[in-house]
Amino acid sequence: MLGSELSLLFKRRRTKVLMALLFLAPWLMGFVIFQFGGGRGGNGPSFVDLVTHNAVFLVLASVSSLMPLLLPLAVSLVAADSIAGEASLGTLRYLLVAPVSRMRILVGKLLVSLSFVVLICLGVAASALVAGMVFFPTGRVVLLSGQTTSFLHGIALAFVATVLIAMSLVSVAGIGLAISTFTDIPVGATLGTLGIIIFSEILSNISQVRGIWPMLPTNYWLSYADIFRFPIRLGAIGKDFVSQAVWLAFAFTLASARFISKDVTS
Amino acid sequence: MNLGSSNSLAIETEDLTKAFGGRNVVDSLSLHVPAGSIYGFLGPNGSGKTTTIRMILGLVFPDRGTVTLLAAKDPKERRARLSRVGMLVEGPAFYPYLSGYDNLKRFSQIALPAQRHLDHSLSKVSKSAIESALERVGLLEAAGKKYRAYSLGMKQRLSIAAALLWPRELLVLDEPTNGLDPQGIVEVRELMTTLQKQGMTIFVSSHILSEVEIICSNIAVMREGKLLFEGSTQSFRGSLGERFELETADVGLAESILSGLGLVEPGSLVIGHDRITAKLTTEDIARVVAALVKGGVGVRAVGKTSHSLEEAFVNMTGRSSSAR
Amino acid sequence: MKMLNVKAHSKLLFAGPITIASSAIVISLVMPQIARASTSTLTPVSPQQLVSWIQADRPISLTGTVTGATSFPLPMPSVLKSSNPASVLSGSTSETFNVWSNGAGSLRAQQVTSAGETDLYMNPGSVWYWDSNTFTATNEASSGASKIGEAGFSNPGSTAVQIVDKLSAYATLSVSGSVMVAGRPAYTLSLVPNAQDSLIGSVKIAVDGLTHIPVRIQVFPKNSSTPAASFGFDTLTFAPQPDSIFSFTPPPGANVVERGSASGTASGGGGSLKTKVIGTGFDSVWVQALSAKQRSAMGGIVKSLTTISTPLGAGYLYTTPIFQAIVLSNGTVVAGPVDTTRLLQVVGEL
Repeated sequence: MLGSELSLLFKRRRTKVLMALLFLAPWLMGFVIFQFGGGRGGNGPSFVDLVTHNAVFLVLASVSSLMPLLLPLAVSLVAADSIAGEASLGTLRYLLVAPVSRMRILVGKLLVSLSFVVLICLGVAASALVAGMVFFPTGRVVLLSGQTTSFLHGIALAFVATVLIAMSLVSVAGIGLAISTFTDIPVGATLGTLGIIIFSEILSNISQVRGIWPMLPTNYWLSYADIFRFPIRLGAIGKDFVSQAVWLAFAFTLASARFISKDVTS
Repeated sequence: MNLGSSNSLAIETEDLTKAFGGRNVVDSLSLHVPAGSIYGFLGPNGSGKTTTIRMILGLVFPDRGTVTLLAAKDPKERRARLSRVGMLVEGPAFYPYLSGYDNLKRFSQIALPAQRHLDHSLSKVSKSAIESALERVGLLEAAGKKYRAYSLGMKQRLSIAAALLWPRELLVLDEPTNGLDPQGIVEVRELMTTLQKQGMTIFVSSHILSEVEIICSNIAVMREGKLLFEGSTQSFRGSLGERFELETADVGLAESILSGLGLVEPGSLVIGHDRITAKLTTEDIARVVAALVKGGVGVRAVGKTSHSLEEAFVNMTGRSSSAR
Repeated sequence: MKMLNVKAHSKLLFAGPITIASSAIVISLVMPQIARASTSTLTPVSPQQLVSWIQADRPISLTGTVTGATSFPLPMPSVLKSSNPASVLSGSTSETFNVWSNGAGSLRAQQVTSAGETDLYMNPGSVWYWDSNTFTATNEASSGASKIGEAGFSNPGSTAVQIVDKLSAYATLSVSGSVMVAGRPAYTLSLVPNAQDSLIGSVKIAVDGLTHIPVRIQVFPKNSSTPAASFGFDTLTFAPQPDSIFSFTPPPGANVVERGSASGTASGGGGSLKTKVIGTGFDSVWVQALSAKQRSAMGGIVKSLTTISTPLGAGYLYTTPIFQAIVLSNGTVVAGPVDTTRLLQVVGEL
């Protein structure tokens, strides 16, 4: 089931284009920084400024600049399409009468979205590491705290950070799946999911609603940066894990409650 | 209308009811589809045929009533039976970015692992099985073409091919002739007959009687969610009888006179632009004409008609006095 | 009739997500309240005992989070964050640091931003200030004295010592029960100013019940029960801290800035400008002439203040619940925890 779902996803031209764009982004970024410098003192995330010092930081600069919009967009496109897309094509009814049980479809679709999340995050990171090694030095890695560590340890930290970013996107996959069960229009589901994420990012910048910040799915999205501090701070990362797990549990139970009792009329 | 014990029924519904937006789309429907029959499920568009089919297949949950499919009543068992049911529901639906062959492959990949634990008689669908299904509907040459490049007729054929991927006991075909040219319609009809001869039960819905009438052994007619008729094609023809036909410019006046004097059977009145047909309660046409003339109706012509099956179908499902 | 189950139970199916959502909301809203509500009683002590504990200021190996907050805009660049002064002026101010101390004179303070950080590495004989945003390491090796003051900002202990040393003579001391600070029971030493014309109602210093180190300082305006300024630990763990946390050498490629001992202050460069203090204790007034550099730095902030006419011409008035300041057109600042009338009186006497 998972194999068939994955091949369905990757046979789509849209998926291929999306992944190509994501994997090209670090090269573009690396080239621009290589040509024009890090632009130190700008408003960009600090990793961008550090890129010229070490290849490893291109990994973090890439994922951190794709994090607020493009990665959630890619995940929403896939996750929100999962049920709504099948419904709009009408293939959902044929899957159900094949017969495939509704829970099986839901779990299969969730696993595909989660695999996609891991795949694009690792893909962007790997692409960025290669681009970084082409453009920038590969010596000891300076941590945010000013201390240094070996290049290999730096790569290991970047890998952990990438996994943490993938973990942060789990809520997007879950929310996308849930919304996907409420509509037969995939574009609507994608926009709805992206809307929730952007809304959450906006709320997390309004200090008057500080009280609800811990409930926002995006609240701990920058916690992966704590891997690059010394000592490593696990507090926010742990909270992100709990937050993502709760959002996933909520979204998945909502999706199954809706999908199991849904009249499929598409 | 008892067609025997439920063991010999491929599909049985009892008191099946479903409302959408407060309106009963399917209203207390009881169907009996004999095993081995070609069962024509007829009614105009919007009469509730598709919703009924969706309830039979477990896509839509009924508000009331039960469905028995291949002797299984419990929803879980019923779902397991679906692997022995081939179907076409409300037109074909495939992934436009996959070829016809890949679509069938995906369908068999996803369907079979899910079914295997339900039904151990199923084995993996081979490449040759996919190809022979494509050949059977004349799509083998277009197998590598992307689905989005298919014509409507080809799409329709591909869904029939999907239904033939592995042996089935029952075929549920919702408007299978939609979008097909006359030649294609004939082919689909021949295919249905062949499959029935091989022992399959075929449940076929249509809003055009003539397309399926010839091959159906049984017929059910629906209108506005209600079952108007269910029985053998023969008894359907027999139930028609002779009808009185009146041609006049004053259809409204004529209608009120005929109904008012109790000259016509309630519900049998069908009103056209300048024409009324009905079943009379009396044999005495002269008396009816006299009453009309006395009432001031300009009678242009009267007669008795014996209807074709098609006309009967239109009469049964079309505009009638009771629907006003 | 099993067939109807799904439909009949469809409302019940939604119990799952509803339960998860509501418990998540309740837990995230109620948990902090529960943590705050817990109290503990400590054996009573005298104010003098608390004062002596505070003055002992024994360095202890610890790590924790410290928050300094004011209810009013603070026109000062914060210690570790080189923030834009204009933005600091908009609303209340709150800065949080992570701190480590090894109990042997080494201290580290870290302020974390979303994808960067600033650090203060203080070891006996060397002080490094690190900013990952500018990739700059600043060495204060020979001007440790001025940095000790800055370090105080990241350590409630040193600030508490200074308050007790300098102000306890001008206040009535009392112990006002036990409170919870950083989840630990703590004594509270309350200093109520003797001076009647001070804006400050009281200063409260919380002292950890177990280790007896100062853990929080709060400044209350007169007739108010909400602190206008507070500075204390949010979390606190007593544990040995490895040396690696405190060690710092400028990384390769960093901009290294050496600051000489000549410039007495961090923002200096304008020579020695004397501060005159008029009065003592809680109603003293400071008179400070700003250097040209300081004046240009303050220019933007000053323009956002309300104007006031003084005996020395037009000036700008900056008011907070616990202190006020007047910036004169000649660049002199007159400030203190007193009302405007007293400040104007001082200006008249200049």
